[in-house]
Amino acid sequence: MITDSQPVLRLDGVTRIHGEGAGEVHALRGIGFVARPGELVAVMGPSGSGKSTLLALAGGLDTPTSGTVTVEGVELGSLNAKERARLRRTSIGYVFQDFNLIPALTAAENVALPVELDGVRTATARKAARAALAEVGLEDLADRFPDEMSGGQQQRVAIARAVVGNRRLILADEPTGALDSHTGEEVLRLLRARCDAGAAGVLVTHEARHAAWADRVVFLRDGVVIDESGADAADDLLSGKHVG
Amino acid sequence: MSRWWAGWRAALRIAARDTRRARARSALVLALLMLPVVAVSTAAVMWATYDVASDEALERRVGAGEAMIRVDPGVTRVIQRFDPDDGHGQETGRLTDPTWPEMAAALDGGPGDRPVTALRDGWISVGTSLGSTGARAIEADFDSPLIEGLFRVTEGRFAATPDEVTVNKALAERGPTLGETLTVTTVDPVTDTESVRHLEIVGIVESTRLRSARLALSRPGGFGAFDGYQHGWLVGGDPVTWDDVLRLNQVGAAVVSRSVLSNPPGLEDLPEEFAYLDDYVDDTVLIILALIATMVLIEVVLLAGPAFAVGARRQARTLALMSATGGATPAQARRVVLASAVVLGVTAGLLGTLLGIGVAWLAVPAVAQLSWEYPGPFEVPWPVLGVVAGFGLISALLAALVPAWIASRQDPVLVLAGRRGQSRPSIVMPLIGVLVFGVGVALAVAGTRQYRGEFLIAVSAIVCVLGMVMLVPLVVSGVGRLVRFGPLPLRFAGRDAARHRTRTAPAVAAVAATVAGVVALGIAMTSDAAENRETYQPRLAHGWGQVHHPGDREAVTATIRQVAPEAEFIEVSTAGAYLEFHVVGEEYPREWWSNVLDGGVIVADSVPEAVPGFPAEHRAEADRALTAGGVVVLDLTPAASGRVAVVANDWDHETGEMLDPQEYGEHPLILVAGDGEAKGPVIISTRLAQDWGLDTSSHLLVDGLSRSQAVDAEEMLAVLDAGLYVERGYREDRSILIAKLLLGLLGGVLMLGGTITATALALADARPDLATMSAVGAPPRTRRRIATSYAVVVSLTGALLGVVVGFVPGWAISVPLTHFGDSGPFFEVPWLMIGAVVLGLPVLTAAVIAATARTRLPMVARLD
Amino acid sequence: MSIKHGLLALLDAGPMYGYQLRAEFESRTGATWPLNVGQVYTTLARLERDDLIASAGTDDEGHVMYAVTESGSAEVAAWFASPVARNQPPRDELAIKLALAVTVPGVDVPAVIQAQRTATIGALQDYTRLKRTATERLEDSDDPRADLAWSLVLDSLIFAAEAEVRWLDHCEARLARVASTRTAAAQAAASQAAASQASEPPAPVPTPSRKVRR
Repeated sequence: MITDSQPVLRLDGVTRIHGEGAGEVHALRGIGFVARPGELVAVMGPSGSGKSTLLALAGGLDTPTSGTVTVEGVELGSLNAKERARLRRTSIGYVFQDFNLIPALTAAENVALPVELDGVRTATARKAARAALAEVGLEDLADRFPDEMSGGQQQRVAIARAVVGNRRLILADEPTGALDSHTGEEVLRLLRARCDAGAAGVLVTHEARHAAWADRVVFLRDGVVIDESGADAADDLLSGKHVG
Repeated sequence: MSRWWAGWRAALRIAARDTRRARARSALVLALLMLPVVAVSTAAVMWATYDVASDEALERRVGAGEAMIRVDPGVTRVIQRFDPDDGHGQETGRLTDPTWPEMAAALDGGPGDRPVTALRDGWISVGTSLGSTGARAIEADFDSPLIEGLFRVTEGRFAATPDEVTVNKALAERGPTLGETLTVTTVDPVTDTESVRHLEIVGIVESTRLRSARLALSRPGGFGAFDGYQHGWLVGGDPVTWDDVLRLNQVGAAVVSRSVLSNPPGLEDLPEEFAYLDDYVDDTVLIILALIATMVLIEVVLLAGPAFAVGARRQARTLALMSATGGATPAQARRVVLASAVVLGVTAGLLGTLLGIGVAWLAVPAVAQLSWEYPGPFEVPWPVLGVVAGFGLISALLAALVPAWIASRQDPVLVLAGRRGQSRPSIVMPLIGVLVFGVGVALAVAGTRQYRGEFLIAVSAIVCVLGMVMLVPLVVSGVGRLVRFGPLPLRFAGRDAARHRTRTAPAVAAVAATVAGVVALGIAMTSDAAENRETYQPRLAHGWGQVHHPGDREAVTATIRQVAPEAEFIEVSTAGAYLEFHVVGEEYPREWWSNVLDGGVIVADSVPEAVPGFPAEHRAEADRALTAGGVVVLDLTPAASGRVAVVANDWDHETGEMLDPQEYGEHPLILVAGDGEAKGPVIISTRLAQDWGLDTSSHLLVDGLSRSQAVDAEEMLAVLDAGLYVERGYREDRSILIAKLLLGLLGGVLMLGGTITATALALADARPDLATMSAVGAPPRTRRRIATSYAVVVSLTGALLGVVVGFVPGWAISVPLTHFGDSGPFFEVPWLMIGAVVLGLPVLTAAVIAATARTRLPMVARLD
Repeated sequence: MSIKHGLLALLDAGPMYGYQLRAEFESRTGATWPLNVGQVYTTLARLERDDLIASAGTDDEGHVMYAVTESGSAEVAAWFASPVARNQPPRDELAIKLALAVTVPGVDVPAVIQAQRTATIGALQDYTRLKRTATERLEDSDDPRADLAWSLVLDSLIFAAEAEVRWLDHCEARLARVASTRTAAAQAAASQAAASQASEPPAPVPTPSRKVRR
């Protein structure tokens, strides 16, 4: 399932520093990271290790202090705001830790949001949204508002929004937090299926059971990659991938 | 008690801190609250300053004396208020001139030893560059110490001899000036001879009260026996009491007394005629002021409400924590919100009044340039300002009332769980709103049927607006449901607005109230104009003009010929008697008063061309009838017979008593159906007038003036104190158009204000959602689209509501406004203006917001 | 681990012979704990001695069948009804290793922990992959109950591995806390003993920012 094609996501020597002077926080220190098509990578580490920062940088929501972030061969730093927005709504799917659903829109409208923002006609967008909702098992709740759903349902809507259409890069920040183990498994199954279909997935989680669904598990601590566990480590050596 | 105060102290502390933190929002609320405070304060200060209270400016009226006693020509008895300028009534019938001994007898019981200076105050004719004109002339002994303060010389000096004259600036500007000769023409009323005098101008004076009338001052005898003058005596000595004034009133004198004006006696001493009038006038003024104040209050409360709602919600978390952990009661939660209202309201009141005083201080000199009165010393009416400042506080409290009440009813659990927005709207308030609106409609209908129903209608307008305000939350929810068919920005804006009703509803209501007012007033104005248009009666045939107060006919015709050489002049006579026309066979006399030539009966041997609406084909017939001694009149209503009995109902101009009716017998009546619905005028032949012994007066009419020629002629005739009116048919009062524009402008400004407020607050509230959209990849222009959608939702909803509501008082007020006797009522709707307001203004508002909205979406920043 | 009760429970369902028993056991537990035949026959003999089973003749192919007795059935019922006791925990090699690593000087404990964690997660990945195929099999299998049983066993391995990872995280955190306090104390002691030239080496401080090992 892992191919040697060009990686969908690539971080090279990325450093991210928040704040200045005495209050400086080094969220990431010159890390390298790769996610290839068909690959699901899990990122684990204690809080403060930089997991969420990594994800934010990968999704173009944040810019690195130094280093480059490349998505589908395009360096994010070279894009202007408009182009980055376009990338976010067509190629990248992001599952936020606190769902970030818009209360004023129904579930279907929330899921259709990136598609509709891209200018696709409402009817088409709505159809794609329903398909994504069906994948997470929430078809009946398509016309409900987030206020009228449980936390677990909201989380699944957020996941549907991240996978609607055919996104090539899916970034998930603790997507199973509010879910029971069976539903969480379903979600991981869904992510796995998407990756098998060719997308690249990055999954931040602290649950080893869920990280185990990934092809590679990367360990972060204090902004540095300290270890990696994967089934095809040899492939990485052969492809000459260099990290750090 | 101390615990209550301690609770308030804590709340005030929180409120003060919150106000400092949310600077933009607080500034907005402050501005909204301050506007009416500043406006009214300025007005109050200027009014107080201009209200040259009698006791302040006494020198201008009584100089250095104790009282100014004046007797108008022919007046036998006077009733007056404490200040006769505020109102006085007269009875005429005097045949001889009043004398000082007469006055002294009434005042002091005998000659007495008061110092007194006599004045004569009347009208003379003076020569100007264009011809003769009128001027006020005062003869007095200007050396008298009592006169000091009445007039102020700016150049030169007072006239010392009857050959000299002092004029004021208004006269000097139009005619001869300092050092030149003033030609004075007077007509002796007794001998009817004209005399011309040449006086040397030795000084320019400023009358300390009036600026624009032309004034000439000289010594006694300087103007000769001039016409119809007022006798005046400026007296010194002992103070003139109210009793003295009353006695003087009995001999025909109106008195301005220093002691009465400085210390007016109680109101019960006023003659009873004035007491009644006082009440009525005060009531009217009070009611109008109350209505205006209420409308302004409603608008300010509605505009400031959203800001308080947002503030309350921002504090919601704090309040919920207080409630959940500290056991704070709902009352305390309410208190915190109200405390911010107190802080802002008091600040607005204080700042607003101070600012108002400042603006007035700057404006007084500017206004003084333009007005015809002098202002008094700068005066600040502190009690009034205190009330106005209180208004600021009250409006703030009212605006915060609903948010405060909602804050106290919050479920802390929900708030802490982070659920934003409200759930279903209650059904109670809209029901009450419908009821209230119904009451308002009923009141309006009742007002149209009642005499003096205008007040009722005005009250009904406010009731309707209040009912509408209660309906708004339901409407906003409805809009939230309607938008599901729209594009994404509209869907989001509409639903978000519906979820945050506390913030949206007041803004929509403010827009609706504004539009309702604009629509109602627009309908009233248009209907009024329609009435004017439909009931217009021309005064002359089209193109003909009439010269008023022609005076010197040669000068007038010469002046007009200067600008219009081809002008034609005719003289038409009318009889001034009050004639009654009883058509034989009809029970009641006909009413044939018309606008033509001041309503008089025209005396001519052939129908003058200047008579409007006279059909040409009947002219010959009418002429024949006139020669045969008949009575010709324009009227559409057919007569019962061809004969009319004419009766004169006149009274003695000297004594004022009705004379016995004089019958002039029956005469043939020729009724002509004129163009238009005009009735009258009546035309009789000169011989008939002679037979009846009627006095006639002659009117100078002119034909053939173009519009520009008429304008020029009018200007030049003004110098001669003559006027020119040219009949051009119904001319829409220019001021109506201006008034409509101003109304639209004011409405637009208020609508823009309300919409911008709501949109700015909504965008601030929606930051998290906008950040989400940005994270999901919204293009940068999304924020602008959403801002525009908010603007459209608020302004369009408000405008549509406002139009519906505005029709009720608009229709209602048009009824009494345009109903006069048999005509009317007229009801016309200014569709163009309404379309502009309902559609154009929201579009404009949305465009403004679209142009000024920031496009940068907020980014999601995370610190892991 | 005693397989006595497991075999007894199988026989409770119906008589079987030795090899059959082994095949059944392995199939129902996903061959996670493979049995050798000798183990099976020894256990059967013991069960017979305890009167919990009895031979029940032979089948067509000459295999000796065993069947459960009444007391055997009761025993099976009692076994299902009572929870597995935890009073004698099985020896956990990892816990032993870590305990020794912490107390034996010169061992880089965090490295041990990290290495173990990586390995365990690797195993977790393998289990999870197996589970995916298991779920697919479950959908169109001919013996759903057997497949479900195996799936449950697989889950137990997964949860156990996860528990191990959690425990490793926990150890790492505790060691880090102890190390920082020890460093502070050592620094204080070092500055105190600077004058007296004490040569006690400071305790090894685990270095948090290790380079990636490749």
